[in-house]
Amino acid sequence: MKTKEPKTVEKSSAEASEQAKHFCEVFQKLKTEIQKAFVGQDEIVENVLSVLLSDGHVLLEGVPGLGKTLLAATLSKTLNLDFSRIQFTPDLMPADIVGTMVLQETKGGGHELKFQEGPVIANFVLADEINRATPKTQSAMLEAMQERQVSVGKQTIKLPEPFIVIATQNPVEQDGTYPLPEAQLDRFMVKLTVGYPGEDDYLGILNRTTGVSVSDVKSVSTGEEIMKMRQIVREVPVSEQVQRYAVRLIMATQPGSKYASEAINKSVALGSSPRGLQSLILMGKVRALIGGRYAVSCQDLADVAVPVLRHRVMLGFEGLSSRVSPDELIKEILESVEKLSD
Amino acid sequence: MTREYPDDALLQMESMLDHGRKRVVWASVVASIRRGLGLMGAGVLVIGALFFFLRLFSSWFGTAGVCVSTGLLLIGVWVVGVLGWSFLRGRREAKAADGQVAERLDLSQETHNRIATAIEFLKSEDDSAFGRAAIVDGWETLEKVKEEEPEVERIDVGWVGVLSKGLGGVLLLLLGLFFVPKSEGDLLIGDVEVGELKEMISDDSKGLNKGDPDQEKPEDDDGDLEEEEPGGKPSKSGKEGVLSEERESDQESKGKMSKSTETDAKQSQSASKSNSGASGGGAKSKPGDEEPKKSKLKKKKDWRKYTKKPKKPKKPEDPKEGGSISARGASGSSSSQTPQNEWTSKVKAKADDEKESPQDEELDDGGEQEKMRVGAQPALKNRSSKISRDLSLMTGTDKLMNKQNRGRGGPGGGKKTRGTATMIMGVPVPGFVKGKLLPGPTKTTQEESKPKVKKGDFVESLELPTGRPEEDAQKRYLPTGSLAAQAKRYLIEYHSQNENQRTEDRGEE
Repeated sequence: MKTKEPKTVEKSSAEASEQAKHFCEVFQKLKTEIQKAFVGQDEIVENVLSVLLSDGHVLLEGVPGLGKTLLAATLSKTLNLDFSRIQFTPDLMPADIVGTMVLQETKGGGHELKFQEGPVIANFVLADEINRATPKTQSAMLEAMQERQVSVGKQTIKLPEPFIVIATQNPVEQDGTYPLPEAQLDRFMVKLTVGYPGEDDYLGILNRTTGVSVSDVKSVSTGEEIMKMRQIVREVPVSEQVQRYAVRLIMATQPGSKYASEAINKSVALGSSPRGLQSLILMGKVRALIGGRYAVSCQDLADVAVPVLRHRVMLGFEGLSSRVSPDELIKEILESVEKLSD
Repeated sequence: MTREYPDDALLQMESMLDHGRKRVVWASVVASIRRGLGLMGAGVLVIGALFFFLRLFSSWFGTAGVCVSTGLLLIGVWVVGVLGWSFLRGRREAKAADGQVAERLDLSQETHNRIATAIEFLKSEDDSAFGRAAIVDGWETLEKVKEEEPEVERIDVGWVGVLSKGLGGVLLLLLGLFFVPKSEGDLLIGDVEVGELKEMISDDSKGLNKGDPDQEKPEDDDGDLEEEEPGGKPSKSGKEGVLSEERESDQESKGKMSKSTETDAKQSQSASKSNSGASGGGAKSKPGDEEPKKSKLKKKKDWRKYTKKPKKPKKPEDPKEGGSISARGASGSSSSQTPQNEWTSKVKAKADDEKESPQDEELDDGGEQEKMRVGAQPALKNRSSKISRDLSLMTGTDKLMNKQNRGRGGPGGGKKTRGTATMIMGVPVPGFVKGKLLPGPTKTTQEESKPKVKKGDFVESLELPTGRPEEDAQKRYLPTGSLAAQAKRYLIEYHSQNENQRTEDRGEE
């Protein structure tokens, strides 16, 4: 076969290669810095960073004392971004989050209404124990999370970029809580379940937290860099084969669809939305970049499918009564859905 | 990583995939063949089992059986069908696999869809920076793994299973062929099979049709015809010869009976003359002709033993029947059916008469003899047990054998099973609705009753002695000393005031 002369090296391809390399480096730096304070849980840290770079929000679920709040606080430190923490309680009102108009005296002796910013107007918002607030207050976060803005009276305030909400909730203490509605759950790109650390991690935690020295977390990146990295993520191409695989995965979570298994039809009341598909692809793109690749693979999607889809699969009565776990269902889907194109 | 790719990168990549393509296509063909073999084994087993059980049932119940050729034909059709299906499926899968070579290579080498993505981007002419970088990445990956095996579909049919199924099927076929007793469908009459017998009968009927119409004489209602060659000679053609030999051997044993039959026939002739006047002179049979006819009757009886012709209910009072029997062999116009049809009906006799015991056969023969002698006789020798009215439910073969409709409910077709509506699927039964009472009025019955004093001897309560101070809990809290006197005063005053108040109230009233 006759081989033609290779094309001249174009800048764009080399640039893409460089960008991908830089992306990996920054990602690794951030991860290393976070792990100075937050011991172990590599997968959780990677996923939180992936969400940050995919322009999403994280819901962390775990029993008290596992370092959920520490993770969020450390991440904000590494990026040198505005950080605000909101402790959600049953008496918290929407105005306590988004802010309110207050009457202020002017220099001339007059009065004027001035917007007093709430804690949500920050780059990094830690919504601690989000399920303890009433649905009214929870819904105040909806606009901020999706539209990146808050509306108070007739005034609409744009939120600073990058903006990320890291919400935490305790799966055990359910008395006096208000489980998040589906609409709000869907706005979280991933739901990460923080588990107990391993044996070696416990030793690391002891050494770093019970001695005299306190781990010093430095800022290794900036908000601007994060925005550039988000742009790089968007540029990563996805082949049709991989797109079809992603679509099949999403459709397989929907009861009644042609890819849904018998277990899904029986146990699931509500499957993933198209927003879930978007999240899946974006997370897959970050996964491809940190894996040193220029395009998303089916395996990238499979790797992030569980955290992306677990809160989007709503169990029905039969699923709840038979104590089926959404994670198990998603793993079953990953095994059953064909990776090959038709 | 900055290396670019040539213009004909797509062609080059496709050619690099040729090795894998052959593997994938061949593997898909092999997979479909294996799948077909798996089906073949199962199919042979099913057909063998079907053949065996059908033969078994037919031998038990006397229904029409399955001949060997049908079993072999079914197996042949199945094998050809599966081969055809495998071929078509293999062709389709090979075509599909041809387009999946890159994806399969990615899967087997865990290259994260690099090769397939690169080919797709080349085809779609993706010109983005990351797209071009992905193409180069895919190109380099393919160069490394082009000699590797792509992921192929491996169908493990389980040769042991297939072979055992196939052999099992063949074994069942052979078992059905050699070890299961022959059914009615395959029954031999003497040494003659049913099919041959039919041919024989048709030959006979042809012979009858060809002969002198005056010689064609109808039998009785049962269609017991006397077949004779023209000229009164018995047919010797084909297998008939074998049968006639048998008949002749029976003649001697039936000699005694023929005498009585002769006398009976003479008695019945007077009746037949009056009833079958239309038969004319043909109705009168010569004594010389009687002998071969009688011997044939006996031979026919032997045939009947095997063919179990269904008996039509006959009224003994019917004068026509008596006449026709007595005028047997003389009248050609009294029978409306052709001999051929009647023989065919004999061969296709149904199960109810076929299942009779040998004892019953003898009885039937006796009845036949009676008929032949003197026309229809009352069934005096009917020794069948009287109809049972056993109320127990019959199942399985008992139910099938219950020809006389014995048992629960008596005669009259199938018995109804007893059950409730809920045993039938689809009958809506109101279920329990959470937090709601079941539909229907709630009845509450209240009884109005007042307590009444019961008369009688009752144990009276006893005046118990005062307990000791430390035992009496109440006394512990009673005031003592001056406090007790003060309390006493207060209570006296309080009660006296109350008493005065009550007196005043009464006075006002």
